[in-house]
Amino acid sequence: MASTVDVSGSVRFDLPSGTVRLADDEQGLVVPVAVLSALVKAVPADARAQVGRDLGAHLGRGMVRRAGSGRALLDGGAEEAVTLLAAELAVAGLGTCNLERWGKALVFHVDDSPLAGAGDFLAHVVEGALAAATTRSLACTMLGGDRGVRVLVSSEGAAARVRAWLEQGTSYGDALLRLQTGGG
Amino acid sequence: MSPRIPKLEALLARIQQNAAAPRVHAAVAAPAPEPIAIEEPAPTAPAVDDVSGRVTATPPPPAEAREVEAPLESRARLVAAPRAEAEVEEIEAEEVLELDERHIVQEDASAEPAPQPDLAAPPAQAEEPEAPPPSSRRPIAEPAETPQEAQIQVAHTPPPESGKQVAAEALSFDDDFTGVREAAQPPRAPAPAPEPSIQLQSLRMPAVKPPVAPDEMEAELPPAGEETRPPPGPLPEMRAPRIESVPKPEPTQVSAEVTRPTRPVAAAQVAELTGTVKPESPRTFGELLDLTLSL
Repeated sequence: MASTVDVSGSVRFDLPSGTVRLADDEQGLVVPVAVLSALVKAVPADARAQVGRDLGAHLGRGMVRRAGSGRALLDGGAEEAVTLLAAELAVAGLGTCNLERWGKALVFHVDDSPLAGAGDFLAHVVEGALAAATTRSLACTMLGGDRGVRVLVSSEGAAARVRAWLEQGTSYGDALLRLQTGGG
Repeated sequence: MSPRIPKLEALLARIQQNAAAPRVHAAVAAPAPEPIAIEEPAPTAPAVDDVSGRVTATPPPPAEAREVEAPLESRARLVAAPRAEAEVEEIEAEEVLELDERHIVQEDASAEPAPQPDLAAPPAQAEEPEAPPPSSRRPIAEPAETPQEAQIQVAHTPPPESGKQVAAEALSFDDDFTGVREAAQPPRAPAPAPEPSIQLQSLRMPAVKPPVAPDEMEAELPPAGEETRPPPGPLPEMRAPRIESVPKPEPTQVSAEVTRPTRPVAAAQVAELTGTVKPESPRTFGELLDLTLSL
């Protein structure tokens, strides 16, 4: 079982130069939530998705760095993986998360996020993080915003079916059940 | 020339002589209880002369003798001469005179007012009985011309005997007798033409030949005088009659036969678990990710 995650030195403020440095010595920016939220809602869906995936990729690289490697992350347990993801979300100020298993389906539950009103943006963040950490082709779908944001991790085809069911009014629980039974 | 002509001429002269002679009218002598206005053209009986015994016809009375009253009720009266008591001479067909309306006396009310009927006075004997009403008019039989016809006419149904009468089974009322007549019915539509009759074929069972018994054998009878003997050789084996079951027809209604349990079923531990199904539990994050991507 993984010990606590040491996140010391993840953000460094260079006050003489007026810059913020991240863990991989990448420059960062401290932006108020209202500004970022307004920006996310203002941009088109494709741009919003792309911004979310890019932000998530930064988080995924942090997970791999903390795990030691991508293989280590995959060979490690689900608890360690979700801990690393939750640590990265917390350093970025995007909330916490935990992992749910719905049969074969893997669902991340992002909670306490200041961007809960932009759940699809958070789904793109998780998608980017997992894709960058595991180098797998996957798709994340926001299931619902009830007490946080639940994000389904699946293939592209399964994500498309679940989105169609949700648009038809099916609850995310029934959609996950239909997904388990292979319902078309 | 026929020898009857002089006779007829003499008869005619006598009739004319009698007609010219004054005659007392019977209707004038006897006051009529009811005024009569119109005479009905009823046939009048020929009057027979007292002396000669010949038939004379009553001539029409003069207009003054007619009595006509207010036409409250129309009724006809036949006025004839008093009937003679003498023997009636046989009349030949040529001597009969036909009577017409001229021989009918019509009472004229304007000519002479009719006296009020006296209820106390006895009815006049000279007055003839009134003619039957038109509703009950009956045909009057013509007098027989020959004795044979008279004999036939006399041979009527004898009057019924006095006593209890037995009602007829089916009563039939003569319209002329009861005066009730059927109302004029509207013309009826012609009856429709009868439909052609349909001949129905009679259902008959087909001739069924009796089945030939399988075990039936023919044997020749010995001639008369000889005894019957068993056939030579072993007797044929007797077989039991075959009983072929007749297939029963399918029942038209199907009813469920219910058999109910008689003893209750009880058990303490019906199911017994011999193992556990371990859910698929990926050990690494990679396996868990592969599972979710397989959906």
